[in-house]
Amino acid sequence: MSNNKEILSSFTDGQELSATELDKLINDVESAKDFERYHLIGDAIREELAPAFTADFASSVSAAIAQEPAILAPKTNVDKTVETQSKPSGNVVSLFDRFGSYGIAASVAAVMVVSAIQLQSNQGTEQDIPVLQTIPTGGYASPVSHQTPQTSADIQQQMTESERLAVERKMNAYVKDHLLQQRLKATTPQKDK
Amino acid sequence: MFTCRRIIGAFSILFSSIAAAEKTPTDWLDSMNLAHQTLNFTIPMVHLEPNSAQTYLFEHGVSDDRQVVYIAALSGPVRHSYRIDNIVTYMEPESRPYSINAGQIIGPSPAIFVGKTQHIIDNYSLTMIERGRIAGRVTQLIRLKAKDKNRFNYILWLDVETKLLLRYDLFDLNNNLLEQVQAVGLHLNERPSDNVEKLAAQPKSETVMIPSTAQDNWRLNWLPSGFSVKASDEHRVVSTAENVDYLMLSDGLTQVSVYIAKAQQAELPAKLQTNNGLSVANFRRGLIDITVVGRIPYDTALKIAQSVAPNG
Repeated sequence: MSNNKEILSSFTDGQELSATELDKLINDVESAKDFERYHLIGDAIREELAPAFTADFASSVSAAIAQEPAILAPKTNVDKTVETQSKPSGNVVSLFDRFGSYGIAASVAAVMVVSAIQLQSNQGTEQDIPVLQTIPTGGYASPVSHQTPQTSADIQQQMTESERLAVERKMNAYVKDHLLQQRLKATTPQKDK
Repeated sequence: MFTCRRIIGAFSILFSSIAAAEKTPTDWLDSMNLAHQTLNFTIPMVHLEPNSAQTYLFEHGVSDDRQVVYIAALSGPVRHSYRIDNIVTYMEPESRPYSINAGQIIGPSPAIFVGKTQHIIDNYSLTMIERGRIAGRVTQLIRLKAKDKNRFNYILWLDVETKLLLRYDLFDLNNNLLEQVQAVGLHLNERPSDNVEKLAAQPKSETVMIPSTAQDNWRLNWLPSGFSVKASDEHRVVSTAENVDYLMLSDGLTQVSVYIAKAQQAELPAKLQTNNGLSVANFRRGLIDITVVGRIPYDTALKIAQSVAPNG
């Protein structure tokens, strides 16, 4: 195997190979992977990686497409949090009292949510992988990875269930609010000369 | 095989240097701006993020001197948004339609780069790379490499014939793909589409939202270069109705929200990140919690949070 690697390496570097060496390489699946990797590294060094990424990305996208129904049909626990604030009320025009709530709240992110802060308390349980989902205007979702500073790990563990939920809710609300604020405060772009 | 790569490489260098002699990346951006403001076109698009795919229709037209941009989701719940001159309207199933005085529709579309040439030149170094093919058309790739580590990088694909932006990719600092918006077709028309004409013929919207009142309780001792404070106010956060002081920062391409709120007992997670590049940084200073949310590197978000100080 390591012998094959050597052959492969010199091949990648542009050396001529004998027919037997070539045969050896062709029949070696492991080497094929190495070959791809060597060239990827070469591409990266030459800063030509974008097209390679595209090829990679395509497969992750088809995987995503396969999962799409799950994204577009949120589970019921997701819906619960939505209905708490999805009562657009009153006048669309005059929403901006000093501390007025936004009646259009729910429109920005159809679905948000859930368990961002579960990492610390449920470390062992697989079904509670921390996921924060947002589906802004176009309806796309993105899971969140989450990391607390090591120093506050103890504090996290001491958090009561209600505190934890409150923190989760707050973080989700901030992300959602960020999406809304971008719309509300979109300024006229500067005219290019 | 290897020799072959060499030769192709040499050709593409030759080719791009010829192209560069004809046009600089800035020229391309200027032509793109013009194309996106004057042509009548309909472009079906795909918006991809690491775990999602969504299809859109992106339309533009000028009818009776009114500029119309129309973006609509093609699958799932009906949601669309459109801009008629400087009024943007969002129509979505979760709420009543609403309109805002704004120069751009917020959301993934080629339109986010239009009219931003100065911002782009200020914050990115531009390189013309190879030619590519999108929606069956020959495109010129332009790499937008951030001049610092405070924002993410883009690659743009511009149609060689029309200069329309047919694709963009967003990469994080480790060159991970965060987002891709790509045309799958391009329909150019002499006249604006029926849809655009209908929108342009609408009476001017009367129900535009009134901008909120600015506050200046806080200052930022550090801002990444190219960013400035675009807006501020005091408002209640959606869902939780928590009172916050709020600042919006932007470098022209991306927006960052800064929230300042009374600290609660429970400590907020220092770091949250979505795999499409959204960072959330929480920082506690005395009795206040500062939260920074935006599609920027986490370290930058944290530095912004740490730089918030009371005014006066």
